Amino acid sequence: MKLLKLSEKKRRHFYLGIIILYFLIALFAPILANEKPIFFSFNGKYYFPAINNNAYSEIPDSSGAPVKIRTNTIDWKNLKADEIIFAPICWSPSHSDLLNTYSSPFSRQQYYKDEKIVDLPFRFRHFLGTGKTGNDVFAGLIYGSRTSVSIGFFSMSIAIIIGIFLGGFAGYLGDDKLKLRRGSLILSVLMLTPAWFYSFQIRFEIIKESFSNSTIMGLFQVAFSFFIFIGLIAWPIFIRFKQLMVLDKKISIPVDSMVSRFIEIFLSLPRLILILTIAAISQPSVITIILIIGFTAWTEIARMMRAQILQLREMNYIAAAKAYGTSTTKILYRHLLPNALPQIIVIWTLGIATAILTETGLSFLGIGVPPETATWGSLMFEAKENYQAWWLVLFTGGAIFSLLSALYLLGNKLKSQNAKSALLS
Amino acid sequence: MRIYILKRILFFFPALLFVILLSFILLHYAPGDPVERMLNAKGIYESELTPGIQNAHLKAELKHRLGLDLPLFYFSIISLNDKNQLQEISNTEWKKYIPVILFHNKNQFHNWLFGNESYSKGIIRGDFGISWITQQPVSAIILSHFQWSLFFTILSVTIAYLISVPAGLKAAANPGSKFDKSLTIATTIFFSLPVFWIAVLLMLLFCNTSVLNIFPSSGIGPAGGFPEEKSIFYKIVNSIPYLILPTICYTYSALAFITRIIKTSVSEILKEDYIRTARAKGLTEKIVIGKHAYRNALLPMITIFSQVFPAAIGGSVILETIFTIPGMGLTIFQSIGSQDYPVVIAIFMITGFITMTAFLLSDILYAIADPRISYSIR
Repeated sequence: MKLLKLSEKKRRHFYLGIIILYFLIALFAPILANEKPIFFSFNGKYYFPAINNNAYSEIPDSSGAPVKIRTNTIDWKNLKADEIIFAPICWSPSHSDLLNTYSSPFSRQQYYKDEKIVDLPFRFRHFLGTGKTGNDVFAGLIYGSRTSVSIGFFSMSIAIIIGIFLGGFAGYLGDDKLKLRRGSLILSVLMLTPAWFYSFQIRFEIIKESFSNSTIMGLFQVAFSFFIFIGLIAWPIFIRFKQLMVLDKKISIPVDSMVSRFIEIFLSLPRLILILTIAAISQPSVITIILIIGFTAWTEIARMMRAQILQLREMNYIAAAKAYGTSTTKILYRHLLPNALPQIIVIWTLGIATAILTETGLSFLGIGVPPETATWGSLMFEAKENYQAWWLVLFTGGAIFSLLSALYLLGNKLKSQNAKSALLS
Repeated sequence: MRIYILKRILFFFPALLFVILLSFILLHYAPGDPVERMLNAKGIYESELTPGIQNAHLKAELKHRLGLDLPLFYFSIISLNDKNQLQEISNTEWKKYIPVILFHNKNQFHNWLFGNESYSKGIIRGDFGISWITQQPVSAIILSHFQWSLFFTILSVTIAYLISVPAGLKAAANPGSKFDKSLTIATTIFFSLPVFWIAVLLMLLFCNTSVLNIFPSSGIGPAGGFPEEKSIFYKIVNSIPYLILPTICYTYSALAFITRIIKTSVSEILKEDYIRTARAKGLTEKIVIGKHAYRNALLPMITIFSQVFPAAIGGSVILETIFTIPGMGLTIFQSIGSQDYPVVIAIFMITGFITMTAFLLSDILYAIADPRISYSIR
């Protein structure tokens, strides 16, 4: 109840602190929970196995000479070393400790030492118990926060970029500000087919090949194709038709109506089922989930951005900037965007919470996220399979709840107050 | 207003087309070869050792019958090279870079949408194809599961309304009071509790032999079904324990949302001039809130209903999976597990259609109920 008595500002900082804490945990997960020791020395040589993520690790044999051994076969707990520093949680989330399956935080936990089964020393204990395959819950929570936070953060970053672009242009250009020559418009429409052909169809094999190498390279190739596509349909804008007056006449493009209709169509889709369907059909990977959530969550941001810009563009300082001869792009990013940003950040905060909720739901169902990835949802599913495992339910739920409530409370606080002044204080 | 309603109905069709196109693309790019899956389901496997000619023949026949050998869409863009290859004309390197548009009268999309003579009636007549696993029509599968989703949705939305309307009204009537503050905290907590956590927690407490074993943990009736000779009353009474936990979870996920919206809309209305007039007239607070404010606050609820209802049908995947309720959510989950994509896509289309219809209806109702609203679309 002490929290209720804190001042508004302090409370806001408290919520922000929790969120930042989760971001830090996500960032430093490999150092916080790792079965590999962070550092050890043997015969005057220093090793840092935790930093290295290879399948093979270099460790000294009995004589002290370094040899390469498959990482998952090494028994790190019984490593011979002069000095050794373990991570705070000395278990990896995927490590299955078959001696201690579904062991509660207070029960007896054991391990092999000198080929005998003995009790785990306090330093090596599973502090929050273990799951179905003896996977450490604490390590799972730490790595799960990594998955959740990165999905929430990156998917909403995609959403914010799309939302700001579409909403900003819709709000600023309105229905009558963007004018194109009739001839350019006709040419652009005619260019659609060749543009598609030269950007995507010819490059299809290249895109496919780079996707099979890595998702990021594939996305890069798709982005490159997309730029070619845009370039090919955009070039007629710069042509002038001096001889033909009919084609040279400018007509206005209803950008605002088009974007609004598009937002409406997107809003009326069943989002969860859409995400579920696409996640089921595509290859399970975290990047896919980020993309799916990002490409379906932008509508709210675009609407807010549009409303903000509509309100702001009537302001006097914009008129002054226009009278001063400032270019349209500069007005957009220098004058309009910074003033619309606080509201966007509020929606972004709430959006991260929704994205994390969606992700935990998906991973609870085991859809979309690869099975070897540690997630909060999969830990919760293990709890569902064994009702005796109260520690799984309690700690996993607590982790989800504390992050989500911090995000929601901060977002609502910022929303209810003047967002701008709240962010600056 | 009539123009607004007409416009709104007109905009329903692009959205519908978008959903249909998206479903078609997803169905086409879903992994797995439908012909092979269907043959497998019939018990015909192509073993690697004996790639039988008969199987290839069967495959080609089934492919032709399903219309999968037809072009995909009404038109296709290919290179001149590929076109020449179809007509067996010799090629040169530069022809690879010349695009050609081909138009197709008969294509897969058209058949899928409107049906072909021999095989399907098309989704426009409610034929969503055949399940790759059970060989049953998808529409029959969905129809047999739809009732449970609908039942829980209607039940939970009704209960949520019954709880949240008085709560929201009371909080809005006394802003800043203890009740208002605690309601705000409660709704925020409700928002940030994932529904599957609540479900697992409830099951841990009430379906656990070592804590309390009051409720059965799965299903909507005894595993073997009810005995034939028992009366309907007996059946209803005995299935209540199965329904309690799911209903709590369903209700809870709609509760916070509805409460918050009602509270904000009522407190907005309480700032209006006519409320002040009503108070100045000397009306009791009960009449001011119950009659003047509440009736006008009902309007946004039309919109809420359009949002809560589809969300409950679509968002029940997790709950139905946890409680093993044989509704649409469990069906989509099981179909994803067995890679039965026609069912998945059909459920996506149906929920999309329900959502869009709900939006359309709510917009029209809103326009009829409140003539003051601007006639530009949202």
